[in-house]
Amino acid sequence: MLTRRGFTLVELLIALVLLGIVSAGIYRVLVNNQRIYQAQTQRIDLQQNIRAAVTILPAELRELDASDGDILAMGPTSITVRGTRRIGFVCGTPAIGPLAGNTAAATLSIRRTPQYGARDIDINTDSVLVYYEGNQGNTNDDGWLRGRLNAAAVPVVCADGANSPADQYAASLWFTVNQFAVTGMIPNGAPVRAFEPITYSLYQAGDGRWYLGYQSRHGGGVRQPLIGPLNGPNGVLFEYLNANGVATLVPAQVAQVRITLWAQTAQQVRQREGPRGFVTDSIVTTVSLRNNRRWNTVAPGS
Amino acid sequence: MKRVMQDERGIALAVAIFALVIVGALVAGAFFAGTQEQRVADNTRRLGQSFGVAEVGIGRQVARWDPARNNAVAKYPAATLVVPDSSTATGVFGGQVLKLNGNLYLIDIIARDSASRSGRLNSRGGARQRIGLLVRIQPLQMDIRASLTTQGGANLTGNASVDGRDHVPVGWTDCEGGLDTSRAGIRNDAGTVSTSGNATVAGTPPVMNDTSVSDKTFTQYGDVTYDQLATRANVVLPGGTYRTEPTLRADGSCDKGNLTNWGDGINRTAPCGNYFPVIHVTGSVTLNGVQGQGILLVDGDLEVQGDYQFYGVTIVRGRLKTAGGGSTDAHFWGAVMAENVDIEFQNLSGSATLNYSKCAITQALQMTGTVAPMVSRGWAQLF
Repeated sequence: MLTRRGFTLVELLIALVLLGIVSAGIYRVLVNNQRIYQAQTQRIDLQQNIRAAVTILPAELRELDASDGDILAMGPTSITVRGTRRIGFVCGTPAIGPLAGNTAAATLSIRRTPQYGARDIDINTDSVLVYYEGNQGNTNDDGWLRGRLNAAAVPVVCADGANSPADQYAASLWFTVNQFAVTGMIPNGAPVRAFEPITYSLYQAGDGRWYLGYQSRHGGGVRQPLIGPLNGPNGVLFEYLNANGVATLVPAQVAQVRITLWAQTAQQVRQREGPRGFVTDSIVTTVSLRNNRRWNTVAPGS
Repeated sequence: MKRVMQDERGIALAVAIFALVIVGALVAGAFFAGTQEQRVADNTRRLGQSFGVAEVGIGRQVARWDPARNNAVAKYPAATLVVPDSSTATGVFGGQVLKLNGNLYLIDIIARDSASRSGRLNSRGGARQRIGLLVRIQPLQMDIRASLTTQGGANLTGNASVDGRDHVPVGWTDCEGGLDTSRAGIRNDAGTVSTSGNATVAGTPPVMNDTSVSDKTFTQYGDVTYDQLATRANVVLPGGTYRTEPTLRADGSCDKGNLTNWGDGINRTAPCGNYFPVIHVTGSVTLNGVQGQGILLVDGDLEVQGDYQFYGVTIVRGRLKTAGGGSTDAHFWGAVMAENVDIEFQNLSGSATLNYSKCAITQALQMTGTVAPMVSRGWAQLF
């Protein structure tokens, strides 16, 4: 047993002390790194959050025609618009019934292909905009008819060479003063845009934090957090500019929407100096409304 | 004496390995977070870049619209025009153009930024944007309110006929929008319209004296002038006598390079049936057969002989004269505008018929027109 040696108590104590010092050092490094990692993750989430805002909101707002009423309500922290959800094209010339008041019945057969959109048409929540051509020989009277689809689609076949499938809807269309409820005013191939009113608004959720919420009829009218948490009751600012870049309060005159978001991290993180707190960041983006009526033409209803 | 340490034992190696693992994991974690952030930022940048490329693609289709090719394509779903892949400085776009009806087209463009397109990305995914633009033919704002619009008087003799009621040309089956209300037979600023023999003038009213008729009526079409329209001509010929008729290439397609091929309005299903050229004759011209369609611009006088058939809009800076007629009447389907700059009588004699036709006018304008985005809601984010 001469070759087998053990630790003396002193050696053991020294080893334990050294191990303790090393472990404490490692622990400190570990904790610091974890804090840094957490803070970094929070900052990344924050940046992704505000980047999502500049992807989602402009995509929605670009398609608006404010001059034709697509901005239903607007304020500094909320905006309600007609959000396009589906685009299709009629086949055949829609039959238009006689005008009763401002509305007329119409039969719309919408080709199944091509159709574009994030989801199908929901007749319970969606309204439609149907292209009105009027006089083929000029563009002054071109416009859109608002309407609703009254009943579920009936499968039909387009009377063209390919016999393409289509969905036929009984619709009610609303005509303005300069639009004629006469068959032929909506041509074969006219585009149809299905839309629903949607609201983006700042609100305080149950957790006490502030979010930019998304509310749609198709979604049951329940407000869902879209972007956030935001920087309190001033976390978002919608500014509305007319064609000259001047702020306007008139929805029909809006040509650009400037969106400013101040967001904060979901959790508090240790700051470089001082106590833990929320890190904030902001982003500004300006969206030009691509579908505003162009040229000095006779606007429907004017 | 050197002490042998072989039996000494410790934990230095284990502690070192443990520390290295911990530090490695932390560094890897930090790198992972950093890399993720970089990827997200890069994705956002590439998404924006793809969007820009798609916008360029859309704009290029409108700016480089070729009426002779694009307007002649069959309506969807019978045909689609493929937009071949094209490069920009930052990406590639391609797509299709659908003709929805005689006036409307959908430009559907899919674009990817260069890195996404080339598959250089580790994720193999990449960004892609698809946008659409509804465009409409920009019709020339021609002040057509009669079968024949002119300045001064007109003499109709023989079997000449001017009819302002709407006619669908014989054999034309793709007219859209129904019949138009009846237009005037002859609209002029002043002067008498005389008929003799079996000559007739019909319309509502048959003759409309309209003091608003002026030189501008014949040379200004909205914001486009006669000279500007002439620069769009597919066919430019000096004054002279011509026989124009459809001709085919060896492969059976319409020979649009032949300057005396002015389309085939008599047989719309033939290869040249959808060919509607803008024809500019820089002097006086005599047409002695067979047919043409589109927009005919004549700087001088126009004389039509035999049973010539023309479908579309005819604008003559000088006088219009018809004579004779063969086995069938000479016909103008659409509208004729004779400016009559020297204010002489228009002489229509023989078996000549000028029939107002909204369909022929519309198709001539549609087939020769350029496009612009619809006046509203033309832009669309496609999916």
